[in-house]
Amino acid sequence: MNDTPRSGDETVRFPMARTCPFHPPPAYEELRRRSPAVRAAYVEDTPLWLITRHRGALQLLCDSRLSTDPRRVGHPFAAMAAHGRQRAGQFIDMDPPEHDYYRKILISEFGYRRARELRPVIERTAHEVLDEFAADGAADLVGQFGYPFSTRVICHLLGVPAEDSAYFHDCTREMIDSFYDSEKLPLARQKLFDYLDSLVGRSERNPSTDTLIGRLAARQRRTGRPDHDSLVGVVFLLLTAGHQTVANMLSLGTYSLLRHPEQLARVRADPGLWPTAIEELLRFHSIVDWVGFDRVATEEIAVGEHTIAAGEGVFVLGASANRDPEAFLDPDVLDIHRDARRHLAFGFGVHQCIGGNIARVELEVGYRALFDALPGLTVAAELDDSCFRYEARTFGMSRFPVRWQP
Amino acid sequence: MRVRVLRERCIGAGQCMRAAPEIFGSDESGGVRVESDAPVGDSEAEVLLAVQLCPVQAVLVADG
Repeated sequence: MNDTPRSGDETVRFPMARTCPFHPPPAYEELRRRSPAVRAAYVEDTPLWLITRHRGALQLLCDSRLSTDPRRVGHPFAAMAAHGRQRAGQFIDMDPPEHDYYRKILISEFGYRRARELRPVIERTAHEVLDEFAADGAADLVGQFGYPFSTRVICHLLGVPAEDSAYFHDCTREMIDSFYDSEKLPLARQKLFDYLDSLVGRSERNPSTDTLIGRLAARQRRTGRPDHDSLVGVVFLLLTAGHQTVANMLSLGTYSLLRHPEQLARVRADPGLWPTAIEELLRFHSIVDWVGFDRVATEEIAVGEHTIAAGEGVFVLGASANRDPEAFLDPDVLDIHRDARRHLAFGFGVHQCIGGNIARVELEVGYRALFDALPGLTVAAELDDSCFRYEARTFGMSRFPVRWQP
Repeated sequence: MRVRVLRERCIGAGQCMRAAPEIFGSDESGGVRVESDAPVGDSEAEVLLAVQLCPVQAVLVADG
Protein backbone atom coordinates (compact mmCIF):
# COMPACT_ATOMS: atom_id res chain seq x y z
CA MET A 1 0.00 0.00 0.00
CA ASN A 2 1.43 3.38 -0.94
CA ASP A 3 1.04 6.23 1.47
CA THR A 4 0.20 8.76 -1.20
CA PRO A 5 -0.97 11.77 0.74
CA ARG A 6 -4.72 11.54 1.35
CA SER A 7 -6.75 14.70 1.60
CA GLY A 8 -6.13 16.24 5.01
CA ASP A 9 -2.73 14.55 5.35
CA GLU A 10 0.17 16.89 5.59
CA THR A 11 2.50 16.40 2.62
CA VAL A 12 6.17 15.93 3.52
CA ARG A 13 8.00 18.74 1.73
CA PHE A 14 11.59 18.26 0.66
CA PRO A 15 14.38 19.34 0.95
CA MET A 16 14.42 20.25 4.63
CA ALA A 17 17.02 22.61 6.05
CA ARG A 18 19.18 21.85 9.06
CA THR A 19 18.58 24.10 12.04
CA CYS A 20 21.60 23.07 14.13
CA PRO A 21 25.23 22.55 13.05
CA PHE A 22 25.38 19.18 14.78
CA HIS A 23 22.24 17.46 13.65
CA PRO A 24 20.34 16.57 10.49
CA PRO A 25 17.02 18.34 9.83
CA PRO A 26 14.92 17.73 12.97
CA ALA A 27 12.05 16.09 11.04
CA TYR A 28 14.28 13.15 10.01
CA GLU A 29 13.81 11.44 13.35
CA GLU A 30 10.04 11.29 12.96
CA LEU A 31 10.26 10.20 9.31
CA ARG A 32 12.68 7.42 10.24
CA ARG A 33 10.36 6.23 12.99
CA ARG A 34 7.35 6.36 10.68
CA SER A 35 8.63 4.21 7.83
CA PRO A 36 11.73 2.99 5.97
CA ALA A 37 10.36 4.74 2.85
CA VAL A 38 8.42 7.99 3.07
CA ARG A 39 6.63 9.67 0.22
CA ALA A 40 7.54 13.35 -0.17
CA ALA A 41 7.08 16.27 -2.53
CA TYR A 42 10.35 17.63 -3.92
CA VAL A 43 10.71 21.14 -5.40
CA GLU A 44 7.83 21.95 -7.76
CA ASP A 45 5.80 19.17 -6.16
CA THR A 46 7.60 16.27 -7.80
CA PRO A 47 6.61 13.19 -5.79
CA LEU A 48 9.46 10.94 -4.71
CA TRP A 49 10.59 8.58 -1.96
CA LEU A 50 12.84 9.25 1.00
CA ILE A 51 14.77 6.25 2.36
CA THR A 52 15.18 6.87 6.06
CA ARG A 53 16.87 3.90 7.76
CA HIS A 54 20.36 2.44 7.71
CA ARG A 55 19.40 -1.05 6.58
CA GLY A 56 17.21 0.15 3.71
CA ALA A 57 19.83 2.68 2.66
CA LEU A 58 22.51 -0.03 2.41
CA GLN A 59 20.20 -2.25 0.39
CA LEU A 60 19.00 0.38 -2.03
CA LEU A 61 22.42 1.89 -2.66
CA CYS A 62 23.47 -1.57 -3.90
CA ASP A 63 20.28 -2.20 -5.87
CA SER A 64 20.84 -2.26 -9.62
CA ARG A 65 17.17 -1.43 -10.19
CA LEU A 66 17.97 2.13 -9.11
CA SER A 67 19.71 4.39 -11.61
CA THR A 68 21.77 7.54 -11.05
CA ASP A 69 21.29 8.75 -14.63
CA PRO A 70 19.54 12.15 -14.43
CA ARG A 71 18.47 11.91 -18.08
CA ARG A 72 15.92 9.29 -17.08
CA VAL A 73 12.36 10.45 -16.69
CA GLY A 74 11.49 10.73 -13.03
CA HIS A 75 15.03 11.31 -11.79
CA PRO A 76 14.88 14.02 -9.11
CA PHE A 77 17.55 16.07 -10.89
CA ALA A 78 16.20 15.51 -14.41
CA ALA A 79 15.69 19.25 -14.94
CA MET A 80 19.38 19.92 -14.33
CA ALA A 81 20.80 16.96 -16.23
CA ALA A 82 23.86 17.65 -18.33
CA HIS A 83 23.56 16.53 -21.92
CA GLY A 84 25.89 16.10 -24.86
CA ARG A 85 29.51 17.11 -24.34
CA GLN A 86 28.94 18.17 -20.74
CA ARG A 87 27.73 14.70 -19.83
CA ALA A 88 30.81 12.86 -21.07
CA GLY A 89 32.98 11.39 -18.32
CA GLN A 90 30.61 12.32 -15.48
CA PHE A 91 30.56 8.78 -14.19
CA ILE A 92 28.63 9.69 -11.03
CA ASP A 93 25.61 10.05 -13.34
CA MET A 94 26.22 6.77 -15.19
CA ASP A 95 25.07 3.25 -14.42
CA PRO A 96 27.10 0.08 -14.83
CA PRO A 97 28.60 -1.01 -17.15
CA GLU A 98 29.30 2.47 -18.60
CA HIS A 99 30.22 3.70 -15.12
CA ASP A 100 32.59 0.85 -14.31
CA TYR A 101 35.20 1.70 -16.93
CA TYR A 102 35.92 5.00 -15.19
CA ARG A 103 36.11 3.53 -11.69
CA LYS A 104 38.54 0.86 -12.93
CA ILE A 105 40.93 3.27 -14.60
CA LEU A 106 40.91 5.48 -11.50
CA ILE A 107 41.66 2.79 -8.87
CA SER A 108 45.38 3.44 -9.25
CA GLU A 109 44.73 7.17 -8.63
CA PHE A 110 42.34 6.94 -5.67
CA GLY A 111 42.88 3.51 -4.12
CA TYR A 112 44.16 2.78 -0.63
CA ARG A 113 47.76 2.48 -1.73
CA ARG A 114 47.76 5.76 -3.66
CA ALA A 115 46.29 7.57 -0.66
CA ARG A 116 49.13 6.29 1.49
CA GLU A 117 51.70 7.40 -1.07
CA LEU A 118 50.18 10.87 -1.13
CA ARG A 119 50.43 11.34 2.61
CA PRO A 120 53.79 13.17 2.61
CA VAL A 121 52.57 15.67 -0.01
CA ILE A 122 49.34 16.17 1.92
CA GLU A 123 51.33 16.76 5.13
CA ARG A 124 53.60 19.25 3.39
CA THR A 125 50.59 21.10 2.00
CA ALA A 126 48.92 21.31 5.43
CA HIS A 127 52.05 22.77 7.01
CA GLU A 128 52.53 25.18 4.13
CA VAL A 129 49.00 26.53 4.55
CA LEU A 130 49.27 26.72 8.35
CA ASP A 131 52.66 28.48 8.19
CA GLU A 132 50.99 31.32 6.35
CA PHE A 133 49.00 32.37 9.43
CA ALA A 134 50.21 30.39 12.47
CA ALA A 135 51.95 33.48 13.92
CA ASP A 136 48.79 35.62 13.77
CA GLY A 137 46.97 34.19 16.81
CA ALA A 138 43.58 34.46 15.09
CA ALA A 139 42.09 33.27 11.79
CA ASP A 140 39.02 32.17 9.91
CA LEU A 141 39.60 28.44 9.58
CA VAL A 142 37.23 28.09 6.62
CA GLY A 143 38.85 30.70 4.41
CA GLN A 144 42.43 30.39 5.65
CA PHE A 145 42.77 26.65 6.25
CA GLY A 146 39.95 24.36 5.05
CA TYR A 147 39.61 25.72 1.53
CA PRO A 148 43.25 26.54 0.70
CA PHE A 149 44.39 23.14 2.02
CA SER A 150 41.80 20.99 0.25
CA THR A 151 42.00 23.05 -2.96
CA ARG A 152 45.78 22.77 -3.15
CA VAL A 153 45.67 19.02 -2.50
CA ILE A 154 43.12 18.31 -5.23
CA CYS A 155 44.88 20.63 -7.70
CA HIS A 156 48.18 18.89 -6.99
CA LEU A 157 46.54 15.51 -7.35
CA LEU A 158 44.99 16.26 -10.72
CA GLY A 159 47.70 18.49 -12.14
CA VAL A 160 45.89 21.81 -12.08
CA PRO A 161 48.61 24.49 -11.91
CA ALA A 162 48.81 26.04 -8.43
CA GLU A 163 48.42 29.54 -9.86
CA ASP A 164 45.01 28.56 -11.28
CA SER A 165 43.62 27.13 -8.04
CA ALA A 166 41.91 30.38 -6.99
CA TYR A 167 40.17 30.68 -10.37
CA PHE A 168 39.01 27.09 -10.20
CA HIS A 169 37.82 27.60 -6.63
CA ASP A 170 35.69 30.61 -7.70
CA CYS A 171 34.20 28.59 -10.58
CA THR A 172 33.10 25.74 -8.31
CA ARG A 173 31.74 28.17 -5.74
CA GLU A 174 29.63 29.85 -8.44
CA MET A 175 28.34 26.47 -9.60
CA ILE A 176 27.42 25.35 -6.12
CA ASP A 177 25.69 28.66 -5.34
CA SER A 178 23.56 28.47 -8.49
CA PHE A 179 22.41 24.89 -7.91
CA TYR A 180 18.71 25.75 -8.07
CA ASP A 181 19.07 28.44 -10.72
CA SER A 182 18.40 26.85 -14.10
CA GLU A 183 19.72 29.94 -15.92
CA LYS A 184 22.91 30.54 -13.99
CA LEU A 185 23.92 26.90 -13.46
CA PRO A 186 24.74 26.07 -17.10
CA LEU A 187 26.77 29.28 -17.42
CA ALA A 188 28.77 28.57 -14.28
CA ARG A 189 29.31 25.01 -15.46
CA GLN A 190 30.44 26.23 -18.88
CA LYS A 191 33.06 28.52 -17.35
CA LEU A 192 34.77 25.65 -15.54
CA PHE A 193 34.40 23.43 -18.61
CA ASP A 194 36.13 25.99 -20.81
CA TYR A 195 39.04 26.20 -18.40
CA LEU A 196 39.42 22.42 -18.11
CA ASP A 197 38.93 21.98 -21.85
CA SER A 198 42.07 23.98 -22.53
CA LEU A 199 44.02 22.48 -19.61
CA VAL A 200 43.27 18.94 -20.80
CA GLY A 201 44.04 19.94 -24.39
CA ARG A 202 47.52 21.11 -23.38
CA SER A 203 48.12 17.84 -21.54
CA GLU A 204 46.95 15.76 -24.52
CA ARG A 205 49.47 17.46 -26.76
CA ASN A 206 52.22 16.84 -24.22
CA PRO A 207 51.24 14.16 -21.69
CA SER A 208 53.34 14.13 -18.52
CA THR A 209 52.96 11.09 -16.31
CA ASP A 210 53.51 13.29 -13.24
CA THR A 211 49.84 14.20 -12.98
CA LEU A 212 46.51 12.43 -13.11
CA ILE A 213 45.43 14.42 -16.17
CA GLY A 214 48.72 13.53 -17.86
CA ARG A 215 48.38 9.84 -17.08
CA LEU A 216 44.83 9.77 -18.45
CA ALA A 217 46.04 11.63 -21.55
CA ALA A 218 48.78 9.03 -21.98
CA ARG A 219 46.17 6.28 -21.64
CA GLN A 220 44.13 8.01 -24.31
CA ARG A 221 47.14 7.91 -26.67
CA ARG A 222 47.64 4.21 -25.95
CA THR A 223 44.05 3.00 -26.03
CA GLY A 224 41.92 5.75 -27.57
CA ARG A 225 39.98 6.14 -24.30
CA PRO A 226 38.91 8.22 -22.48
CA ASP A 227 38.33 10.64 -25.35
CA HIS A 228 38.87 14.37 -24.89
CA ASP A 229 35.37 15.25 -23.71
CA SER A 230 35.29 12.32 -21.29
CA LEU A 231 38.67 13.26 -19.86
CA VAL A 232 37.45 16.82 -19.30
CA GLY A 233 34.32 15.42 -17.65
CA VAL A 234 36.27 13.14 -15.32
CA VAL A 235 38.48 16.01 -14.18
CA PHE A 236 35.45 18.27 -13.81
CA LEU A 237 33.77 15.73 -11.57
CA LEU A 238 36.84 15.02 -9.45
CA LEU A 239 37.56 18.71 -8.94
CA THR A 240 34.05 19.72 -8.00
CA ALA A 241 33.43 16.73 -5.70
CA GLY A 242 36.81 16.72 -4.08
CA HIS A 243 37.51 19.93 -2.27
CA GLN A 244 34.43 21.53 -0.75
CA THR A 245 33.52 18.35 1.12
CA VAL A 246 36.95 18.02 2.72
CA ALA A 247 37.02 21.73 3.58
CA ASN A 248 33.63 21.46 5.28
CA MET A 249 34.60 18.40 7.29
CA LEU A 250 37.82 20.06 8.44
CA SER A 251 36.05 23.05 9.95
CA LEU A 252 32.99 21.22 11.30
CA GLY A 253 35.08 18.40 12.76
CA THR A 254 37.42 20.90 14.42
CA TYR A 255 34.41 22.71 15.87
CA SER A 256 33.00 19.44 17.23
CA LEU A 257 36.30 18.41 18.79
CA LEU A 258 36.68 21.83 20.44
CA ARG A 259 33.25 21.34 21.98
CA HIS A 260 34.32 17.96 23.38
CA PRO A 261 37.69 18.82 24.95
CA GLU A 262 37.98 15.51 26.82
CA GLN A 263 37.66 13.58 23.53
CA LEU A 264 40.08 15.93 21.79
CA ALA A 265 42.61 15.43 24.61
CA ARG A 266 42.33 11.65 24.27
CA VAL A 267 42.95 11.56 20.55
CA ARG A 268 45.79 14.06 20.80
CA ALA A 269 47.44 11.96 23.50
CA ASP A 270 47.04 8.78 21.44
CA PRO A 271 47.21 9.63 17.71
CA GLY A 272 46.45 5.99 16.89
CA LEU A 273 42.84 6.89 17.71
CA TRP A 274 42.52 9.37 14.82
CA PRO A 275 41.22 6.89 12.21
CA THR A 276 38.40 5.79 14.55
CA ALA A 277 37.65 9.40 15.49
CA ILE A 278 37.47 10.41 11.84
CA GLU A 279 34.94 7.69 10.97
CA GLU A 280 32.80 8.99 13.84
CA LEU A 281 33.13 12.62 12.72
CA LEU A 282 32.12 11.57 9.21
CA ARG A 283 29.08 9.72 10.56
CA PHE A 284 28.09 12.43 12.98
CA HIS A 285 28.25 15.33 10.54
CA SER A 286 27.05 13.53 7.38
CA ILE A 287 27.59 16.70 5.36
CA VAL A 288 26.64 15.01 2.09
CA ASP A 289 23.08 13.87 2.52
CA TRP A 290 20.32 13.19 -0.03
CA VAL A 291 22.01 15.35 -2.65
CA GLY A 292 24.68 12.69 -3.17
CA PHE A 293 22.19 9.83 -3.17
CA ASP A 294 19.75 10.75 -5.94
CA ARG A 295 18.23 7.83 -7.80
CA VAL A 296 15.34 6.81 -10.01
CA ALA A 297 13.73 3.35 -10.01
CA THR A 298 13.95 1.51 -13.33
CA GLU A 299 11.74 -1.30 -12.04
CA GLU A 300 9.30 -1.77 -9.20
CA ILE A 301 11.06 -2.11 -5.83
CA ALA A 302 9.47 -3.20 -2.56
CA VAL A 303 10.68 -1.41 0.59
CA GLY A 304 8.94 -2.67 3.70
CA GLU A 305 5.24 -2.41 2.99
CA HIS A 306 5.73 0.20 0.26
CA THR A 307 6.36 -0.17 -3.43
CA ILE A 308 8.54 2.23 -5.36
CA ALA A 309 7.20 2.24 -8.90
CA ALA A 310 9.41 2.32 -12.01
CA GLY A 311 10.07 5.94 -12.92
CA GLU A 312 9.75 7.27 -9.37
CA GLY A 313 12.57 9.28 -7.85
CA VAL A 314 14.38 8.31 -4.67
CA PHE A 315 16.61 10.17 -2.21
CA VAL A 316 18.52 8.05 0.27
CA LEU A 317 18.82 10.16 3.41
CA GLY A 318 22.40 9.37 4.37
CA ALA A 319 22.27 11.75 7.33
CA SER A 320 19.20 9.96 8.67
CA ALA A 321 20.69 6.48 8.15
CA ASN A 322 23.77 7.62 10.07
CA ARG A 323 21.54 8.53 13.04
CA ASP A 324 19.54 5.30 12.95
CA PRO A 325 19.51 3.83 16.48
CA GLU A 326 19.21 0.34 14.92
CA ALA A 327 22.70 0.81 13.51
CA PHE A 328 24.38 3.12 16.05
CA LEU A 329 23.83 3.18 19.80
CA ASP A 330 22.95 6.70 21.07
CA PRO A 331 23.32 7.98 17.52
CA ASP A 332 22.99 11.68 18.43
CA VAL A 333 26.02 11.53 20.70
CA LEU A 334 29.50 12.20 19.31
CA ASP A 335 31.75 9.45 20.62
CA ILE A 336 35.14 9.19 18.96
CA HIS A 337 35.70 5.78 20.55
CA ARG A 338 32.74 4.09 18.90
CA ASP A 339 33.14 1.88 15.85
CA ALA A 340 31.32 4.02 13.27
CA ARG A 341 32.73 2.30 10.20
CA ARG A 342 29.33 1.25 8.88
CA HIS A 343 28.40 4.89 8.31
CA LEU A 344 27.16 6.07 4.93
CA ALA A 345 28.97 9.41 4.79
CA PHE A 346 30.66 8.24 1.58
CA GLY A 347 27.62 6.32 0.37
CA PHE A 348 27.61 2.61 -0.50
CA GLY A 349 27.47 0.52 -3.66
CA VAL A 350 29.37 1.12 -6.90
CA HIS A 351 29.05 4.90 -6.49
CA GLN A 352 30.63 5.06 -3.06
CA CYS A 353 32.80 8.19 -2.94
CA ILE A 354 35.91 7.65 -5.03
CA GLY A 355 37.82 10.08 -2.83
CA GLY A 356 37.19 8.23 0.44
CA ASN A 357 40.75 6.94 0.82
CA ILE A 358 42.34 10.30 0.14
CA ALA A 359 39.74 12.25 2.15
CA ARG A 360 40.53 10.14 5.23
CA VAL A 361 44.22 10.99 4.89
CA GLU A 362 43.46 14.68 4.33
CA LEU A 363 41.26 14.78 7.41
CA GLU A 364 43.73 13.01 9.67
CA VAL A 365 46.66 15.07 8.44
CA GLY A 366 44.60 18.27 8.53
CA TYR A 367 43.24 17.89 12.08
CA ARG A 368 46.57 16.79 13.49
CA ALA A 369 48.55 19.57 11.82
CA LEU A 370 45.97 22.14 12.88
CA PHE A 371 45.92 21.25 16.58
CA ASP A 372 49.74 20.94 16.62
CA ALA A 373 50.38 24.26 14.88
CA LEU A 374 47.79 26.32 16.77
CA PRO A 375 48.28 25.64 20.50
CA GLY A 376 45.42 26.54 22.82
CA LEU A 377 42.98 26.73 19.90
CA THR A 378 39.53 28.08 20.87
CA VAL A 379 36.46 29.44 19.12
CA ALA A 380 36.97 33.22 18.94
CA ALA A 381 33.40 34.38 19.18
CA GLU A 382 29.87 33.14 19.61
CA LEU A 383 29.07 31.56 16.23
CA ASP A 384 25.80 32.90 14.84
CA ASP A 385 23.70 31.39 12.06
CA SER A 386 25.65 33.26 9.38
CA CYS A 387 28.65 31.01 10.10
CA PHE A 388 26.78 27.94 8.80
CA ARG A 389 25.58 27.08 5.33
CA TYR A 390 22.11 25.85 6.28
CA GLU A 391 20.72 26.26 2.77
CA ALA A 392 23.69 24.76 0.94
CA ARG A 393 23.32 21.37 -0.69
CA THR A 394 26.44 20.19 1.13
CA PHE A 395 26.34 21.30 4.75
CA GLY A 396 29.29 23.30 6.00
CA MET A 397 30.58 26.47 7.52
CA SER A 398 31.02 29.79 5.76
CA ARG A 399 33.17 31.28 8.52
CA PHE A 400 34.92 29.85 11.59
CA PRO A 401 36.72 32.50 13.67
CA VAL A 402 39.31 30.98 16.05
CA ARG A 403 42.08 32.18 18.38
CA TRP A 404 45.22 30.56 19.82
CA GLN A 405 48.50 31.45 21.55
CA PRO A 406 51.07 31.85 18.81
CA MET B 1 37.77 -19.72 6.96
CA ARG B 2 38.79 -19.12 3.35
CA VAL B 3 38.85 -15.63 1.82
CA ARG B 4 38.33 -14.78 -1.82
CA VAL B 5 37.89 -11.45 -3.63
CA LEU B 6 36.12 -10.72 -6.88
CA ARG B 7 38.77 -8.48 -8.36
CA GLU B 8 36.70 -7.53 -11.38
CA ARG B 9 34.12 -6.07 -9.01
CA CYS B 10 36.60 -4.11 -6.85
CA ILE B 11 36.34 -0.30 -7.04
CA GLY B 12 39.30 0.39 -4.76
CA ALA B 13 37.29 1.69 -1.81
CA GLY B 14 39.99 0.38 0.52
CA GLN B 15 37.57 -0.78 3.20
CA CYS B 16 38.97 -4.32 3.35
CA MET B 17 42.55 -3.09 3.63
CA ARG B 18 41.62 -0.81 6.52
CA ALA B 19 39.53 -3.48 8.26
CA ALA B 20 41.95 -6.40 7.87
CA PRO B 21 45.35 -5.05 6.85
CA GLU B 22 47.09 -8.42 7.31
CA ILE B 23 44.73 -10.18 4.93
CA PHE B 24 44.13 -7.66 2.16
CA GLY B 25 46.77 -5.76 0.23
CA SER B 26 47.12 -3.84 -3.02
CA ASP B 27 47.90 -5.31 -6.40
CA GLU B 28 50.09 -3.40 -8.87
CA SER B 29 47.18 -1.21 -10.00
CA GLY B 30 46.00 -0.40 -6.47
CA GLY B 31 43.08 -2.84 -6.45
CA VAL B 32 42.70 -5.58 -3.87
CA ARG B 33 44.82 -8.67 -3.48
CA VAL B 34 44.43 -11.38 -0.85
CA GLU B 35 47.76 -11.67 0.99
CA SER B 36 46.69 -14.53 3.21
CA ASP B 37 43.58 -16.51 2.36
CA ALA B 38 43.26 -18.45 5.63
CA PRO B 39 42.88 -15.95 8.49
CA VAL B 40 42.96 -17.10 12.10
CA GLY B 41 41.99 -15.53 15.43
CA ASP B 42 41.28 -11.79 15.36
CA SER B 43 41.80 -11.70 11.64
CA GLU B 44 38.67 -13.79 11.13
CA ALA B 45 36.51 -11.14 12.79
CA GLU B 46 38.27 -8.44 10.76
CA VAL B 47 37.55 -10.29 7.54
CA LEU B 48 33.87 -10.63 8.45
CA LEU B 49 33.78 -6.88 8.98
CA ALA B 50 35.48 -6.37 5.61
CA VAL B 51 32.70 -8.44 4.02
CA GLN B 52 30.14 -6.02 5.51
CA LEU B 53 32.07 -2.86 4.72
CA CYS B 54 32.92 -3.64 1.08
CA PRO B 55 30.51 -1.39 -0.83
CA VAL B 56 30.37 -3.72 -3.84
CA GLN B 57 30.32 -7.12 -2.08
CA ALA B 58 33.65 -8.13 -3.59
CA VAL B 59 34.89 -9.95 -0.46
CA LEU B 60 33.67 -13.53 -0.03
CA VAL B 61 34.31 -16.04 2.72
CA ALA B 62 33.68 -19.74 2.94
CA ASP B 63 34.19 -22.39 5.61
CA GLY B 64 37.35 -24.42 5.48
